[in-house]
Amino acid sequence: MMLGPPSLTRLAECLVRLPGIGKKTAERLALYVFKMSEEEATALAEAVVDVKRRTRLCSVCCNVTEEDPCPICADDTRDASLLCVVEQPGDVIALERTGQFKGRYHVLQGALSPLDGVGPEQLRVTEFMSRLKGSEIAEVVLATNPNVEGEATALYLMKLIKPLGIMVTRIARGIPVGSDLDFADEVTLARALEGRQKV
Amino acid sequence: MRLTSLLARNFRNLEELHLSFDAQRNLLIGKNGAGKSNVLEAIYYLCVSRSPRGALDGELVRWGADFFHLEGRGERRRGPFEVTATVRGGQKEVGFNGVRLARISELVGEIAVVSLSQDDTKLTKGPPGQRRRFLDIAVSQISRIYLQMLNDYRRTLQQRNRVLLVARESGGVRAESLEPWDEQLVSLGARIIVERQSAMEELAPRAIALYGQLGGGRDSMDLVYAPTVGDGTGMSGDELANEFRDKLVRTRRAEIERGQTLVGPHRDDIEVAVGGRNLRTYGSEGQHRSAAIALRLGEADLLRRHIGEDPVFVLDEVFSELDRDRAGALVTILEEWEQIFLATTRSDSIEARDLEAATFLLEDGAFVEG
Repeated sequence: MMLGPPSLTRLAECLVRLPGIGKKTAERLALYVFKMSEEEATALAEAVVDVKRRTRLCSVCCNVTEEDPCPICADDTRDASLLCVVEQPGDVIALERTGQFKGRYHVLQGALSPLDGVGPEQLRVTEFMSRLKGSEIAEVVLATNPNVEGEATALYLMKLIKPLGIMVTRIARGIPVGSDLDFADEVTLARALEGRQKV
Repeated sequence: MRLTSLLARNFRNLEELHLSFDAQRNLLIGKNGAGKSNVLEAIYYLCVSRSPRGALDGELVRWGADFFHLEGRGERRRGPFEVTATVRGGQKEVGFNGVRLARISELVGEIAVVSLSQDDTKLTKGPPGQRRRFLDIAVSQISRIYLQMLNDYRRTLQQRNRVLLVARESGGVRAESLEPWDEQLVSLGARIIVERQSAMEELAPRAIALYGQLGGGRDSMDLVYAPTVGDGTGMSGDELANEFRDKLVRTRRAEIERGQTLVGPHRDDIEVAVGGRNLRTYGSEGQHRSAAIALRLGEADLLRRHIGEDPVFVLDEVFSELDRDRAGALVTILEEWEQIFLATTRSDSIEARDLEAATFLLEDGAFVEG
């Protein structure tokens, strides 16, 4: 790591462990913290610690939350018959931003990936299955990522849900809205064609 | 399509080289180690962002430098293009027409390229993987969807193999741990085989004809796609998927014993025979050489038909090992190609004499005269 005062080095070494942060960026961020006012720096440090101290996983949907159950699970106006399965908390934020989904969520906290040692036991699958049994859930929307691991996870869950007689749907894949067809890459376009719908 | 200029910085032994090319035929002349092949490699790299010799990016950086940078300009039917590639500290950056590509694979197919070198005899001498790679690169250049399927298939295969490996160690596997991977392996695999089938249906007759043309009809070549699922001819995706699924069930025990996936397109082959005898086992050096040229010409022809224009064709020291008749036949075939790049050590070689080409004299990685 960088040459410099030990405290600066220590901060840079902490930052470099974050995803998407390389050595250079970590050094730049550490120097930026040096230039911050003490109040700003304290606020940053407290915010980091707060995340660890105050948040946990919701005992129902396994999303990150400060209250248990989380605000979405506790919200009675939500459609209890509709459940959307996602990989990460960030996916819930993205779907919530649409304002279109009125059901509840289940966060798996990952996707199947034997190469990374992630099997069903490492995901929040048990929690998911116990939610389904004896519930009023009528449809499960599988919204895992459209890659090999997300697809495998969706297939795995589909097999588990089928015997329960609950309807399972998979989110569609296709063209970003507002873009032109001739700008879409062939792969996305081909998938959009595969998933075309009758109008 | 054609390349009009190339800039190579710290690429192999090319410290700083700028060349402007002839629209049709370009002949690079120089002693061994002068950098001719490196110019061809740079051209190929700019088209598919990979070395034709399978070298790793880091190996392409000039000794003592910490990066390489390539720039190419050219024309294709859709208009002029500009492509750049930079590798620094293990990071690769590729730009096309001023846009930095988010995924390197997006470059494949923009500028089609075919490379032919003496090394290519390993296409018929080497293990099946060589021939699969040949076919995959050809089909990827005409279909980016194929390339994506191939990448997804490889990823699925790795994941599935890990499940099998764990199963071998722990002495068993639950069906539901394999199923999600099986499903994807089967659907992607079947589609890959369908694409390979149809590519081979086009490529094989052309390569066979070209082999005949090269050898003046002295012997004949056979070329057959030999997949591990299906019979290699016109089977539908559904038929293939069903057979694939059955085979996975039947080989499951063996797969767990070995800890790897034993059926699927990752085990396909192309069988090459000359005079009715398997070339890999019985072929002479001359037959291997002619077969390699025929395969590459067949590849070029496939790209030409699908893209609607000629791919850039690079040939590294191909003529020196050919007898006079074959060399003459190859010159005739190449004359109809839009743009070719050839490297040779001798200025009195047959290609230097018979092809009217712009010549570039290279010495120690630098351009001496044109």
